[in-house]
Formats: sequence, C-alpha cells, structure tokens
Amino acid sequence: MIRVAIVEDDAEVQALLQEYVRRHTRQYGTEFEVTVFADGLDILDDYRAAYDIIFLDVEMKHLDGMTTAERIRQMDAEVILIFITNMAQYAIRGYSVGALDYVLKPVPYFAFSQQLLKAVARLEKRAKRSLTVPVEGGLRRLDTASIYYLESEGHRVHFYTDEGDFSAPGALKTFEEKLADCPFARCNSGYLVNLAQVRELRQSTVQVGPWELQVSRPKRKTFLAALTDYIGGEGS
Amino acid sequence: MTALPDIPRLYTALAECLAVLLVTPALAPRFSKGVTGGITLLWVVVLSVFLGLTGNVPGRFWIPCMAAAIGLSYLYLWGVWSITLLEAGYHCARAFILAELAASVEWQLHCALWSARSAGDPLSLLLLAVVYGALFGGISYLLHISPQPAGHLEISGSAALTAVMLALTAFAVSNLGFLPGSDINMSIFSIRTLVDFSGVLILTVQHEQLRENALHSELAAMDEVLRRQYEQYKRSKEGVNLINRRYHELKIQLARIRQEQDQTKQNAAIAAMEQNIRQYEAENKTGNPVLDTILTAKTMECQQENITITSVADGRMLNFLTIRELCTIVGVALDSAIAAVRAEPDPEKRLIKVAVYSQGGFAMLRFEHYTQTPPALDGEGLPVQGADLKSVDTTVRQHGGSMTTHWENSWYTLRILFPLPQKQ
Repeated sequence: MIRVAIVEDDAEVQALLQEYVRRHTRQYGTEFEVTVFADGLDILDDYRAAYDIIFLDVEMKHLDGMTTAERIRQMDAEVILIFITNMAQYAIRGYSVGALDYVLKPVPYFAFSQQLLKAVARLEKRAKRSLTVPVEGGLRRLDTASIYYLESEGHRVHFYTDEGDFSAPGALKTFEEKLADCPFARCNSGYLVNLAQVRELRQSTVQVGPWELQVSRPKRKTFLAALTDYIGGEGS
Repeated sequence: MTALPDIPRLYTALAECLAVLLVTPALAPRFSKGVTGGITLLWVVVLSVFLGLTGNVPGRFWIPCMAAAIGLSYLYLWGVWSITLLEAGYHCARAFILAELAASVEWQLHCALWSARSAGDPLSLLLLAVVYGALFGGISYLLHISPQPAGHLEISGSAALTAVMLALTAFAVSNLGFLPGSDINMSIFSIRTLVDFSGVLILTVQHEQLRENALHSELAAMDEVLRRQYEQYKRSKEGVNLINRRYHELKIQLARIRQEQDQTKQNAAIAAMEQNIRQYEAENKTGNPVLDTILTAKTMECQQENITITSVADGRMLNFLTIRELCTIVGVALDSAIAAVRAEPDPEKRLIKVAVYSQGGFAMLRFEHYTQTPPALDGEGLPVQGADLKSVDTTVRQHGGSMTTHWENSWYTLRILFPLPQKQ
C-alpha cells in the first residue's frame, strides 16, 4: 500500500485528483491510501514521515506549496514531492526542495497518471537493500547505502563503509552480481564504487566519500555512463 | 642460376585473408555477430582451399585463378559488410595490393635467407609469422590510432575506380618478370616488392585523403549545428525581449484604464489580465539568462503545438558552458523531443519534462519525453534521427562529461552529466 497525501485548497481539484488515483488503481492495480489536506498548515500540523508521495498545490491561502515543501523536507528527506500548479514559473525552482516534477493545472489524467507511475517505480527502486557478507565467525549484514566502495584483494574483497572497514573472502565479481540492483559501478578493474557516495570527479580520480580513487581509462566511459544514469535517475 | 620457387599459395591465401580482415573493422556488418563470423570462416577456408588447389595450374590459367580468388574476396566484402559494390571494389583493391606486398616481402626474405628450406619448415613458418605479424600488426596499429570518422566512410565512384586501376596496374607491373621465358631471380622479386610497395603507398595516401575529408565534413556539420542553434537563440532572445516590452506597455495601459473606470467587474477582468502578464514576465527564471531564453522560446513553441512542457531548472551552476555550448545542448535536446512528441496524435500524451539540477560536484541536465515507439538507434547508441545529438555528445565530452539515452516504459530519457569545475 502506497501512502499518498494531496494538499490542495480547491475542493473540486481535490475530488478530481482522488478520482484520478482511483482510476490509476483500476488501470494498473497499484493500491493507494490517500489522505487529503486543504492547506499546507494542515499537513505540517503534527507532521510525521507517514507518506510516500505528496502532491502539493503551489498556490494556497495560508501556507503556499513551496514553503510547505521546504518545511516537509526539513523533517522528511525521503518523501517524493510533486507540485501541482498553474504557474510554471513557481515550480521551476522545485529543485531546491528536491521536487523535480510537477503537473500543470488543469490536471489531465494522463500526465497525472504517468507522474504516479514514475513515482511508484522510484519507490520500488528505493526499497532499502541489505547485503549479507560472510566474515570470520559468521555472517555480517550490511546496508548497501553505507558502503563507500569494495576493493579486490586477491581472493578476498575489502569493504570500505561508514561503519568501518573489513574484508571478506570472495571475488569482486560475486559481490558485483549481488549488488546488481544497487547503484554500483567499477571505476577501475579493482574497485567497485557506490555511485551514491560519489562526490566529485577529477581528471583521473573520483572522490568517493572520504576516499580518492583512480579511474582507469578503459572503465571511464562505462563508469561515467552509470554515474550519469544514477544522478539523472534521482527525482524521476 | 637456379630458378627460385614462387610464393606458396597458402602463404598468399593467408596474406589475402589478413589484409581483407584488416579493412573490415571499419565496416558495419550486414548480419549478426555469429553469422558474420561463420561466413568469414567459410570464406577463409574456401579461399585457402581454392588457392591451394590451383597452385600448380599451367601458366595460362594463372590469371583466371587469381581473378577468381580476388572475386571471392570481393563477394565476401560486399556480401557480409554493408557497403556498396563500388566500396567493396575499393576495399578489395586496397586489401589485395597490401596482401601482394606482404607475401612478396616475406617470400623475398625467405629466399634470401634460406631458399632451400621448404615452406612448411618450422623456421619458415616462424619467419612467416614474424613478417606478417609485423606488417599487418603495424598497419592495424596505425589504423587504430588515427582518428576515424564516425560511421560510414563515403567512397566516391572515381576514388573506387582509381584504387582498382592502381591495384591492377601495380599487380600487372609487379608480375611482368614472371612472364614465361624469363628467369626468376632475386631482382625480379625486388621489383615485385618495390612495385607493390609503391602501390600500397599510393593507395594509403588516397585513403588518408578520404579519411581526412570525412573528418573535415564531420567537423563542418557539427559547426553547422552550433551555428544554427546559436542563430535561433539570438532570434528568440529578440522575440522574448520584444514580448516582455509589449507586456510592460500593456500593463501601463491597463493601469490607465483602471484609473478612469470604476466598475468592479471590469476591475476583476483587468486583474486577471495582469495576472497573465505576471506569468509571462516571470517565466523561466533559472538563474542563467541563456537557459531562460531557450526554455522560454521552446515553451512558447510547445504551447503553439499543444505540447505540455514542464521544466524544473537551476541554471546557476551552468556558467562554465559558453552560450554556444548551452544553446547546442538544450536546443538540440528540446528540438528532438519536440519533433518526437509532435508525432503523437493525442495532445494529452505530448509531454516533455526538463530537469536541470546539481548534485554534489555534478550538474545534471535531463530531458524526457513520452513516446510509445522506441527510437531507432545507430551503432553508437544514439537515435538515428537525432543526428545533431552527435554534436551534443562531443560538447559534453569536451567538458569531461557523459551523455546517455534510454527508452523505457514509453519514456525516452536523455541524461547529460557534467563534473562541475572546481571553484578557485
């Protein structure tokens, strides 16, 4: 069940969007639990990170959509924000609150439904993944997001994570396959890098968290393409 | 003086195969990898067997046999690789004369070193491997390091004809010494090698010329894209300025009307008009004037065509791109998106999304549009229609960035990533 909030002061649009969500469910089978608010102040009152997707009207009487979004972001970094507006120039600054999509009023079903499809796909992709690594004396469970990078060391693989470094037996290729659904790519034959941790790219090195790693010539193109898709995939 | 033996036919066959395979990497295959490989193998075997079997035919059959062998390679080149008959002739001529040279050099060395040894002797084979390896390896390396024009190298009819005539002449002259009745000695071998060498040299020079012409016209095409987008940008800038001025004048007029008349209804209408004007004034303020202009102009274009375009854009970090570069990237990306969604009959489905934002030390420009048909891609993964995207790709790479395109769930996505330059 995906939790959706609609923050919209116009009762007609509220009803329309609710109907659109139901129609989307009929069409694609995805179940939603919809909560409706009439103003930004209402959703902020006792806000809990209880929603997956929030549709926010930009122009509202008491607290406008952009300010509401800023306050929500302070409390909830994960929720997907989608603006609804008839003035595109307000939504163009959506990047400041990580809202890279908006729907123009009057809202057509198709555009709304496509937006919902993308948001749902993004939620599914985001589902937190953990990796089980065999270490001396048992198995270690690791949140993949905490990994900086993996380094191949003969028949072992060294893990650099923000919870400390350790090494485990196995080949880099094995872990690469296990991490296939996560944003990992090789910047050279010996390093498998978590793209979410990449901060900067220089001439021949890449900054991964606190580490500076060499980017090899043969891997540069595919590494950059993977990074492009990862960074360009956020917010879609 | 004893007559020297001539080149073993299998040596010739090997040289011929290697020379042809040297030109094929630049060509696009007609079939899948497996089929191409299979036919290539078949051709190698057939050619070797044919040349091997016809090694001892009487002199008058020698020329028809050579012609048949060349014809076989020619058919292979034309049949397996997607080139025209003329181009196949050109490549075949180059390969043939190169093979002649390689075989000639190798056999001359063989005769000079140990003319008594048989062709199957391990030392002979070693020499064969060394000479062919050095020659073909060297040329392959030279071809590899020189910049190749993307895609197909256009070969005109006259270039193909010249190459074929040259190859035939070189072949005829180099083999003059082998006419019946003449003594086969080292000097004849030397002449053959030299003539073949000049043949290869001339054909290589010709090929270089063709290649450079192709590179040059490619650059010119890219320049043209830049120029076109820039011109368009200048025109839209004027247009957008004009509209802004017009709206300003309108606003002044409205203010006057309001002072004179006092009816509430009219006031409401005037207020609504003002609201619309504000919309235009504030349109697309991204923090980068160039991006503002392009987005505004393209948004207007989309409105005329019933296309819904939504953009979320932070242009502040894009100052490291020149006006021309930004025009090219955004202009080309949006033009190809507009062209694609225009084909969609249902206006509700004509959707384009633009997102420009920074994350960490990177700038991301993302262009998406709805399209149910996946775009046809060329060999480099770029859409065939969007030939201009090639110049976007080049611009992006010049800044150390990367561009990717995907089609998934009826959405086509173009992503461009730039590493942001370090602040001084």
